[in-house]
Amino acid sequence: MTLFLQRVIDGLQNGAIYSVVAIPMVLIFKATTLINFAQGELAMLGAFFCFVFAVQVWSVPVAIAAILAMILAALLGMGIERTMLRSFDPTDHLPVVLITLGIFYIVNAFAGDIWNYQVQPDVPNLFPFADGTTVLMQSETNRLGLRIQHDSIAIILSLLVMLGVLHLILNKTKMGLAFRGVSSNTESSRLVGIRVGRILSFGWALACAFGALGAIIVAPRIQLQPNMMLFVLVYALAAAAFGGLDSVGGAAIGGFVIGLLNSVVLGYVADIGVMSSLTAAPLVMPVIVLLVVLWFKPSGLFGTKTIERV
Amino acid sequence: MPYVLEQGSAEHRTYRMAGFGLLILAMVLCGIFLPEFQLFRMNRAMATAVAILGLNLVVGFSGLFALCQSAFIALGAFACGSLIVDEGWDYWMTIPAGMLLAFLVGLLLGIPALKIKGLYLAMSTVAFATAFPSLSKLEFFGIPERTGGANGKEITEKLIPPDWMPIFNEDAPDRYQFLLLSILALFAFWAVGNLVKSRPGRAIIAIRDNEIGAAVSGVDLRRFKVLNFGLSAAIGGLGGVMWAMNSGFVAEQDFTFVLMVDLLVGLVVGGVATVSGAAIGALVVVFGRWLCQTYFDFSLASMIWLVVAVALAMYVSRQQPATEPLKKFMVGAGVFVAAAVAGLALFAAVDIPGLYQLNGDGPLSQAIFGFVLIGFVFFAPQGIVGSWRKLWSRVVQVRPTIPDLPEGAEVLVKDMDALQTSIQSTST
Amino acid sequence: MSDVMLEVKGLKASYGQVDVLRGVELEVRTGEVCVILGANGAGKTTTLRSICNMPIVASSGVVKFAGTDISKSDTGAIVGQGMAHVPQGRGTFPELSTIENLQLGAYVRTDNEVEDDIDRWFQMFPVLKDRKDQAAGSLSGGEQQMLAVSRALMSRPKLLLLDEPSLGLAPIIIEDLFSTFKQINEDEGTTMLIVEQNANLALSIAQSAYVLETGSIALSGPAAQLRDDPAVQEAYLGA
Repeated sequence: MTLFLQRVIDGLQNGAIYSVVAIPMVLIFKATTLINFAQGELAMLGAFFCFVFAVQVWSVPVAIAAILAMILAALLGMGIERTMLRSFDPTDHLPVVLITLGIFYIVNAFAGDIWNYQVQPDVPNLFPFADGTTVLMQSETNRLGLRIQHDSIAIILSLLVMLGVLHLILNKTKMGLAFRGVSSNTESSRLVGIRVGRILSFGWALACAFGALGAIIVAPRIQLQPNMMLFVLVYALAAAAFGGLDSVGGAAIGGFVIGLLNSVVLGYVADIGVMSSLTAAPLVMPVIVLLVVLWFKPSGLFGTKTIERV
Repeated sequence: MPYVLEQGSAEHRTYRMAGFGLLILAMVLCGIFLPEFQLFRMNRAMATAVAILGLNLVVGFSGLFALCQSAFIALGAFACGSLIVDEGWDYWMTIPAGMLLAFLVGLLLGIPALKIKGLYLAMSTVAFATAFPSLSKLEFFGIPERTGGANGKEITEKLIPPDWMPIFNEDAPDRYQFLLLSILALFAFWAVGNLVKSRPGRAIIAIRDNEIGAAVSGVDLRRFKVLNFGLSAAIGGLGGVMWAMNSGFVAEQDFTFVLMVDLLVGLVVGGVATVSGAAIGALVVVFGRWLCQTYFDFSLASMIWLVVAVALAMYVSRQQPATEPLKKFMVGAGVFVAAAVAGLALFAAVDIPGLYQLNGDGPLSQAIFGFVLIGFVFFAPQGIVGSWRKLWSRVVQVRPTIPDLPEGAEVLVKDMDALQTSIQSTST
Repeated sequence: MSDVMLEVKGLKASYGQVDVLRGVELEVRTGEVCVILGANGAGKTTTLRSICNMPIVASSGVVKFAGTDISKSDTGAIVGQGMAHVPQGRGTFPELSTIENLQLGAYVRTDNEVEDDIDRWFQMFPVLKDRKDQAAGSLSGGEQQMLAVSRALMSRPKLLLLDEPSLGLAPIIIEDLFSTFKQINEDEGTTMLIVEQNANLALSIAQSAYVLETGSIALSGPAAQLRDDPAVQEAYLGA
């Protein structure tokens, strides 16, 4: 039982990491019906920006460094959308797929060049009390004896908070309403006076800022190095598809589900045997999830039916 | 005035023979005069060319996003390695075996591709390609022993020239491999070139251009799509076997998603939906990487900043009214200078050593490839071959023959020349 | 306010290589209901889209709205200046709720009477109030049309463009709809430019009319006059 619960916690924590990359992808998909294959790399860059501000060059307090990094990431995202993607017809997917792959290459190479493909030891941590393993609920050690690291809880909680903020932005603000309008019917949005270009920029800025913040939060856990998001991308794609490509909540749930599947199911399949580490063979599982979801229910769990025509 | 040749005429045949002859001559010269280490690279380029050819069949000609060709190469290479080392096979037998294995997996993937379209297919195949190296380490059915697991597998029997071919030096087998691989590659290109012009080939292209039209004309879409997938995978498998033949070593780290993107770069640079583009693209990718890694030694960050500065300058100057070219230029130059100065100031202020030095060989060529990919998508989407064809058609034009019309039929097209030019530019 | 709300001169438009409009001239006077009639493919929808300068069509010519030249303005800006457009097929936001659709209608407004207006349209179309939190895509054709019109009116436009509002609706609903248009025109003084195939009903509430044929105006004049014109009767009124 303890093992099972331990796996559940691990799974939720991993799931939070997948959601962190899946949610920005869904935001961009909602706004533009495009998949940004460079999403993970942009988030990674955001984490490195924070590192530069907080540790490598200056010693800005981590919270402020995080905010600066988010702003930089948002600007970068807006720049990319404006200059490279806007001029293409969104129904012709090939150029956009190629461009986001090109950006993937460039950002990955840039980070690899500047920061080496090594793991950075001094990772800025937004939650300084997360100091490794602690036993939670001392009073129940004999019954549960769970080993929960504080930063796991911090990660899961932060994700929930970020989701809450995102929900508020999308559903309770005018910009958010306009964003959902553009996502629903771009032509009518124009007819209502919405400047669609500005909303697209807003969408990308929001997505990249969110992605950067997410990467900053999980960096202490999955190690800050240029390839940190490479495999996460696969999980994120599966999570986004599972939840429905245009549902932010769906992507979050998808992330947790896949994290749980990975940890709990694979943990018990002895032959495959490798545990819930992000860099091991279990990459198989998200591929299978992707294929199954897209074959049987392309709109995912919470997506709208209309996305099937993509 | 372009020199016009009638398709199928004797002149045309001579023209084609001459072109082919030039190609053979070039390859023979390469084989004779290139040093061994360059031949090694040429061999790698030919394996890559065959792989890109397969990729083109699905992505270029069929318009389907099958972005997992790197996995099929891996399958071919692993098959070759394992069959030779574990089963004692001969190199030649591994070719059909590797192709068959890749073909079967390709068919299997083609079935979901029937239902999963466009971007979704891209997502799935990208995931598959990224996951594939990990798959080869799965502790199932003794897979890691066959693929060499994380350390790779040395193919102990190298492809060396037989004793009855004294011109080849046994200690430097690259030249001999060049001969063999050239023959394989030429054969593959010839086969695909013919396929594209045949009826099944036309069907595949029809799927890309107009699915509904194709279905209505009686093309059995499902069968063709799945077969197309399988075929392109098989060709990728051939490329994988060629890869193994050349390098004598297979390791999962060689077949990552990075290889996939390299293939795409080769595809786009060469020319989407052209047969010869695969060869050009492969040369660019393989030798490009080598050139970058050997000769380029400048700061990656500076290069990115410069490129961004140029792009920004172009973007801003395009916003200016077209009627004032001097103003456009000044504004653009001004933006560029401002951006360059800002960059210098920023680099000076931020003391990160990586900004000035180059860390290893990989990142610079990777970034350059990224820029090349984006650049081609923007400025030359038809690739090198496509652009070359446009230029060359001003020198020599092949006029396709109009089929014999039945009695009393009237030709309604007003401008036959324009029609024929447009037909020509869409041929392979 | 000037006498002429909308002035269009030499309007040409094309989709890619296909020329659709070959020089359309028309005028809509303030406060009137003007109708454009024409067969399928004549270019009626294209005319409305070109007036709004929608990116989907490449157009040239002079369009003046309440005296201001809007030929090169952005669609958003044009809407901000008081023009509203109900596109063909309603153009609701299907995933958003009815009330959110109305809120979006008021996007360009900065005053605080939006809620009052929403209540007003709920009063005029009670069925919308019943379905206010329902997804707009789940409403019936007639309800969506009411929603689309209300949404357009939420911006308190000076000029309302309507593209084939009767398309796909049952006759009874169409009659109700057009009497509502008439009422709105009389009560609010909203100028209307309606593109229609259902000529009879449209002409009955209009003051002036144009007939569009293969990209240019073939006939124009007071609505009553066109109604009695035998050519129009034969072609469009099924007489």
